[in-house]
Amino acid sequence: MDHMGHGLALSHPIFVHPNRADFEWSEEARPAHYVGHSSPLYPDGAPDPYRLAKFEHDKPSVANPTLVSHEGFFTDIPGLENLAEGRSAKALGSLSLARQGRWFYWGYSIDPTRMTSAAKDTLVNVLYYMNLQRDSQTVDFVTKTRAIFRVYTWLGRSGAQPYMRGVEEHLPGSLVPELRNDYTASFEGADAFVAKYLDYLYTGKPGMAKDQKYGWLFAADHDAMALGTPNHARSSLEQWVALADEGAGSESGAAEPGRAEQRERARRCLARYVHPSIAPKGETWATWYARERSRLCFIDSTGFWWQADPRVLEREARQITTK
Amino acid sequence: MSLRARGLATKRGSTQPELATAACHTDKFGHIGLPGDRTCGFDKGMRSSHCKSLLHRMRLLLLPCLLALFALRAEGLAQDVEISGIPDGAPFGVRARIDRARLVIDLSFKAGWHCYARDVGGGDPVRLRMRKATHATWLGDLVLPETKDGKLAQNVRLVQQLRLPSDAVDFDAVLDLMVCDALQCLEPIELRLHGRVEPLRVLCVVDVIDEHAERIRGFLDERGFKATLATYRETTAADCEPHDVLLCDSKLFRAAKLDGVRAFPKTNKPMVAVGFLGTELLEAQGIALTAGYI
Repeated sequence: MDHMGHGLALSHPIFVHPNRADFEWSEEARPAHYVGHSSPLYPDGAPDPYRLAKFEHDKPSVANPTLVSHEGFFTDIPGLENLAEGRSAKALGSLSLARQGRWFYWGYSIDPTRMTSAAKDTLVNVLYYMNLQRDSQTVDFVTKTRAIFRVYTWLGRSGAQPYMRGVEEHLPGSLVPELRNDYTASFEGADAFVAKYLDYLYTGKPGMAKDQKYGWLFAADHDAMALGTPNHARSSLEQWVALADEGAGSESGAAEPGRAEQRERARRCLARYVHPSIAPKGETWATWYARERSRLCFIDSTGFWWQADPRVLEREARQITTK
Repeated sequence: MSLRARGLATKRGSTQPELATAACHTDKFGHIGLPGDRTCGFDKGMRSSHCKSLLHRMRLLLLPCLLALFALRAEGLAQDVEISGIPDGAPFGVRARIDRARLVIDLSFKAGWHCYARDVGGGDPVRLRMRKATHATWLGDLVLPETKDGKLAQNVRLVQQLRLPSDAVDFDAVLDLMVCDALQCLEPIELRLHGRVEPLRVLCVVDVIDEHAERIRGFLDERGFKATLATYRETTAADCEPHDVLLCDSKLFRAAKLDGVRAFPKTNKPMVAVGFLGTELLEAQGIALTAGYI
C-alpha cells in the first residue's frame, strides 16, 4: 500500500470526533484490476473515477504490506469494522484502517513528519475511540475462511496472461487429498468446485490435517451435503436440531425409510459445528436451541463453529454486580 | 402523607403502588484505596533471622494482595467517574468512565427492571444534564441502545460525546433515571457523576527509542495525551497496565526491527497496531484482522 486511502467510512467516529478529519482529496481513474469486484467498503464496486485521501505527504520509499479483506480470511468475524482501504496493486478490498475487538490496524506511518494534518486528527480520534473499546470482545483466529476459494475463481483470470497459480497450486493445495481428486485445475474447474462444494467446506477441527504452506486443509462435509444443509445456514442448524431430537418412531415422519440415517447425519453435524463451550449438557437440542438461539452465529475463521456471538458476550460481560 | 414522601411511587397508569426503597446514599465504583503507607513500617527494627523469616512469609502473603489492589487501581484509572445518589438496594448497578472525548455510562438492571429511552407512557426517559461548574459541551444526543418498546433493560451502555476546553479537568453531571418494573416505578433517581478528566495514558511501543520515536511521543504530548515510550523487546504485561491505550509503531517494511514483536505480551488494553510490525503483532496475538496479509 502507499500513502493514500479510499472508501473511507467518513461518518465513523474516527473521522469526526473529537476532531473532524479534513482530508486532501484527489480523483483518479479506477484501476483495471478493481473493475468487476466488490469489497466491504464497496459493496457495489468502486466508482470510476474514485476518490483518494492523503494520509502521508508522499509515497513511502518502499512498498508496505497489503491486507486484503475480501480474500476469505477474516471478514466473517462479527463486529469487525472496515474503515478505510489502501491503494493496492493486487486487489480491491485492501484494508488500511480496521478494528476487531480491542485491536485496531493503522496501515500508515505515524511519524508526525510524514502524517498529513487529517491523518494526525484521525490518529488522535482512533486513540480515543479505542479507549472506548477496552471491554470489546472478539474471537481467536484459527483458519482462513472458505471465501478464499471464490477468490481463486477470478484472481488474475482476465489478464492477457492469466495468473494460473491460484487455480493450479493454491486451490488444490488447500484441500484434503480426497477432495483434490474431484477438482480440475483450471478456472472452469474452480467454478465447478465452488458451485458444488463451497457451502459444505470446513476445516480447523481438532484432528484435521494441516499443511506447512497452506495451513488447515479443507474437507467437504458429506453429512451436510447428503442432507442438503449448508453448514453455515441458520435453517440448517434448525433442521439438524429437529432431526437430532427425534425419538425412534415417536414423531411424525420419524419412521420414514432412511430417517434414522438422516438423524445420525444431523447429530454428527451438530457435534461437528456446535462449539463445545455452548453445546447442550443433559438437555434436548430443542431446549438448548430455544435458549441459545439469539446468542448464536456461525464463524468460519474460528474453525467453522456455531458459537456465541462475541458481541453478545461483550454485552453480557458488562453485567455490573448489584449490591 | 404523599406516596412520594413515603418512598412510594406510582407507575404511570398503574393503580398498584408498591414500596420502593428511596433512601439515597453515596456510593463509588472502582475506587479501592491502597494502604496509606505501602511499606507499612512493619519491618523496622526486625533483625533476627526468625523475624526475617516471618517477615518474608508475611511479604509472600501480602504481595499478591498488594498486587491485586494495584491491578484494581490500575484498571480503575483516573478516568473512572464517581457516582453518588444510588438508592440503597437499587435494582441496577452503574459505572461510568470519561475521557476528553466521551462519557460512557454502563447500567445493569436486575431481571424485570428497566428505564426508558423515550416517553412511552411508563416513565420519563433517561436524561443527562451538565452541572454548572462543568465547562463541557455535549456534542449530539446521548446515544442509547436500540429498543423497540422504548425500554432499556439488562446491560445498557449510554455514550455522550463531549468537548472540553483544553484546561478543563473537572467534570460534574447528573443522570436522571426513572427505574421501573412491570408494576411500579421507583422515585425519580438523580445520579451525580463527578470527577477529574485526566489525559489518556498512551504507551507508545517502538522497535528502538530513537528520534522517530521521540517525534511520536512529542506529537502525542502536544495533542493532550500522556505518552510513554517503550520497546517491543522489553515491555511486559505489567508495563501495559497503567496505560489506557497501546500505540504499537512500525517503520516501513524492511526498515522495522522484528525484535520482540511476536513475543509481545497479551494484555487487556486496547491496542493500535501500525504498519508492517502491526501485521506481525496482530497475527501473533491471534487476531484474524491481519491474516489477509499478501
